[in-house]
Amino acid sequence: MIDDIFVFDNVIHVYDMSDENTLAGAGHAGRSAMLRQTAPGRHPAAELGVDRWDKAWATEEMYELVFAQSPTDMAMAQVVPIFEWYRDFFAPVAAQYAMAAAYPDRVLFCGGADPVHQGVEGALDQLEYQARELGARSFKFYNGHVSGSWRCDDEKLAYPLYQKALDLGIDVIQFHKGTPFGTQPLEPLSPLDLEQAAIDFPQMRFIIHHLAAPYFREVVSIAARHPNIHLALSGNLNMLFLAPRLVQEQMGILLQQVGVHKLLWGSEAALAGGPAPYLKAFMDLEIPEDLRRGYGYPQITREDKERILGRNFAEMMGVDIEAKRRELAGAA
Amino acid sequence: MSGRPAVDREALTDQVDAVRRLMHTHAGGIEVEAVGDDGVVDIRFTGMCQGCPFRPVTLLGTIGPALRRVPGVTDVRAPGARVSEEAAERMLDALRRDGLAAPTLPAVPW
Repeated sequence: MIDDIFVFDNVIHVYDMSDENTLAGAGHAGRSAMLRQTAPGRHPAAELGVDRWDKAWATEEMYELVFAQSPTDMAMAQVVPIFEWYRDFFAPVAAQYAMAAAYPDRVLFCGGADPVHQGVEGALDQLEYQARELGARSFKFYNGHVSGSWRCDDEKLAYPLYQKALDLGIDVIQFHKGTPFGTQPLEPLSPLDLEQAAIDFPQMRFIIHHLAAPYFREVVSIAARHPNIHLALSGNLNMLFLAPRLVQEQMGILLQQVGVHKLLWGSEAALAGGPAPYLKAFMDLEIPEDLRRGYGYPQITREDKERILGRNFAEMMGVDIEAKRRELAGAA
Repeated sequence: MSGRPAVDREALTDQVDAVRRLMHTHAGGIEVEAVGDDGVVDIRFTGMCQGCPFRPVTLLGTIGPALRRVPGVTDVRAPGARVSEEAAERMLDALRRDGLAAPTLPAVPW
């Protein structure tokens, strides 16, 4: 908890960027691009105790970073099904499951699959296995690849995944949008192809990550109009040190036009570093007067921060915050 | 017990219906999401109002004044219509100047 606010991190990734998991040639170039893109935004305090980033993260290291060094209460470990540079995905199924299995009181498992790389039938089998055998509470998809991209409103590739998830009792699915790594094409990572999917699957809740940068205005419009589209501020609040004005403007627009109930905190640990400095910076965040006067952006309140940092995702995942507080206090 | 009068639910339903009929002329609408013990009514915009950039004006100029006439209602909120105090005051000043700050709705819904 930070300032007595329950912190439920929507997204951490137990990465495997080891040589063993990185494909020869293009894989090494892709891994280098990922490391180059993520390093500049990392606050020095978020790097404490981390010896290197291009490795397979162990569950104990992740626990240290996310829970011991940072005031996080719960987190969701999410698969990242990037396959073009890694043998077993960028953030593998086994590593995310291991994290959830090691800390079941604090970590939920979010599975993932890809209907092009694994084929639709293979992906459906994976979803079933991950839900039934590994206890997945959500699924993460990544549809923009150097080769093998697919659309989120594709009735043959994507819709069977959504229907399967619903059949398995999972009504929260998540998409990396915008923010391509290296030479991944930007267009398939536009959020626009989620509009029709949200209309066709009204019982499904779709979480869009990274504010779909650079499609920020588009994702605001989509989330404002579709009741089942939510936004994860995954990595976005980490910009508070590098570009505070950007975060103030984005937060102002989100509070004004989308609504606080749809916003989720996501740290992107481990690659973004430990969440502690970003959480502290977020607690200090205010919308400055010139933005309030000039754009009508509302001031951010403590209630807003409480919702963003944990209450919204807890409600989505059916976690009773007060009961969880007592449970974690009893275990300490 | 807060001593605050409870929201008159029947009157609220009638007033929401009246506002909704008004908004239907623009293919828009509202739904009540929750009514708090503190008298705060949370609504959500529907139809063509979803995503409209002028939701704050509609909330401040039309919906809010209409629903606050209902006994027990203290405030009205809606996602997508939240603005700074500075912007709210500016809008209300403009509406007052034009005599539009508190539109008159029929006592009995159409």
